[in-house]
Amino acid sequence: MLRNLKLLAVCILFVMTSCAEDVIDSRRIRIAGRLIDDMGSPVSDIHITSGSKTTILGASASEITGNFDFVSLESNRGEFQIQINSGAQRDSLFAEVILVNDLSSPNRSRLNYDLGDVIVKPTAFLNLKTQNTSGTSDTLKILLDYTSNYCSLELDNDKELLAKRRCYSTHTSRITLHAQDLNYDTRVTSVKNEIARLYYRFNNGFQQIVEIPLTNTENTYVFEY
Amino acid sequence: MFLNIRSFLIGIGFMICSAVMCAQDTTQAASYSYKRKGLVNTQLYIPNAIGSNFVSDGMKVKPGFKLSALGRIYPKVLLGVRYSLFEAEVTQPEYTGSYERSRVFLIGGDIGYQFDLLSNLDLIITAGGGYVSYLGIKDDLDFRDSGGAIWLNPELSYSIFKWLAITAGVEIRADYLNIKTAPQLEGNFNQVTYLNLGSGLRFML
Repeated sequence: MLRNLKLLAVCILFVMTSCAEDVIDSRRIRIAGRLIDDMGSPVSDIHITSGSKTTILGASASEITGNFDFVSLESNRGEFQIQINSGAQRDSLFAEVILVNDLSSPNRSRLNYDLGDVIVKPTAFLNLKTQNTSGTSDTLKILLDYTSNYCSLELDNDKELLAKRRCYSTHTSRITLHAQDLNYDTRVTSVKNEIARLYYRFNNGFQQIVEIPLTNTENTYVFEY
Repeated sequence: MFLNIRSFLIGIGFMICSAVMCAQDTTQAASYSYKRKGLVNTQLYIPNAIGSNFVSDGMKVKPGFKLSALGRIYPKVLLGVRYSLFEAEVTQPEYTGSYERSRVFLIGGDIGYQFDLLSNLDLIITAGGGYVSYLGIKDDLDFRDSGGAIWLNPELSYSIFKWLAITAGVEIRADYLNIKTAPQLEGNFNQVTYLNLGSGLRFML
C-alpha cells in the first residue's frame, strides 16, 4: 500500500514537473510593427502583449503614429502569441487581433517579429430592439448574422495552420420571442463598414431578411412587428 | 560598443596615472598595512547603469552589496576574490520583457595594487573579471541571463585602527551577457556598463 502511494506521488511529481511553464534563459524577442485601421490611418493607444496563452511575457502600446516596438521574453510552452487589444473592454473601439506562431511552425524559434502594418478594424455596435407593437401572439424567430470583431491569424502562411484560425468570421445570434416577450433589446459587437443580416420568420412561416449596414460606431435598428 | 571600450580603457589609464603621480608625491607614506597579510572589504554601493541598455532604459536599480577578500602576494600587490549582489525593479517592460525584478550576482577574481597617499590614507586599485548572472523573477517563473564581467575599482581608504579602515570608491564595470536576440537589440542586451559608487569598511587581516 505504502509502496503504491510512493509510486503515485512520484508520478504526480513527474507530471507536474513536465507540465511546468518556463521562461527560456538568455533569450529576448523583438516585436515591432504599426497598427492601422482599414482606411490606413494609424491606430494609437492600443495595448499589445506577447507570450503564451496563459502568461504575458512582453507588453507595450501603440504610439500616436501606430508604431510599436518592444521586447518580450519567451516561454517554452506551446504557441507564441502576439495579442493586440486582447482582453479589452466590450466597449473597445477596435477589434481584437491575435497573431500566433504555432509550436509546429518551422519559424517557432524566431527572435524578430517585424510585423509591418497590422490592420485592426474599428468596432461597430448594433443595438437591436424588437417591439411587438401590434400585440400579435405569433412566435418570432430571429437569426442575426454579423462579423465578429475578433481575428486570430497564423504568422506562417502554412495552409493547415491557417485553417485552425478564425479571422473576422461570421457570428450568429438566435433569438426566439413568444407572445409574452413584448420588447426585447440586444447589443452585439461587430466591425464597422460591414453588414449585419437579420433573418426572421413568424411561427414556421417564410423567412425574410433585413440587411443592416454598420456605418457608424453606434448603430440602432428597431424591428417592429 | 567600441566607444564604450575606448572610454573604459582611457578611464583605466587616467586612474592609474593619477594614482602613480599621487604616490610619487607622497614621501611620508604609511607602511604598517604591509605587515598585514590581506584584507576583507565590505561595501554598500549604488549601481548606476550608463549608456543605452536594458538596465538603464527599463529598470530602477537598488543599492547593492559587495564583499571581497584580498591577500598580499607582494608588499603592494593583492590578489583575491569578490562577490557582489544588487536588485533591480522592472519599470519599463517594453525595454526588458515583462517580469518583476532582476537579482544580479557577480563572482570573480581581483588583482590590486596599493598606493600610499598619506599616513592613514591609501588607494587600492583593483581590476578583475568574473561570472555574472541576472536572475529574472516573474511570479513563480524564473529565468537567468548570464555572461562575463570585467571591472576596474579604485578605492580610497582611511585607517581608523590598524585593523579597520573606512573606504569609498568608484567601480567601472562592464557585463557582457550571452543573450540571443534580434540584431536590433543586441547592443542593448549584450553589454551593460556600470559606474558604481560605494562606501564601506575594510578589515585588515
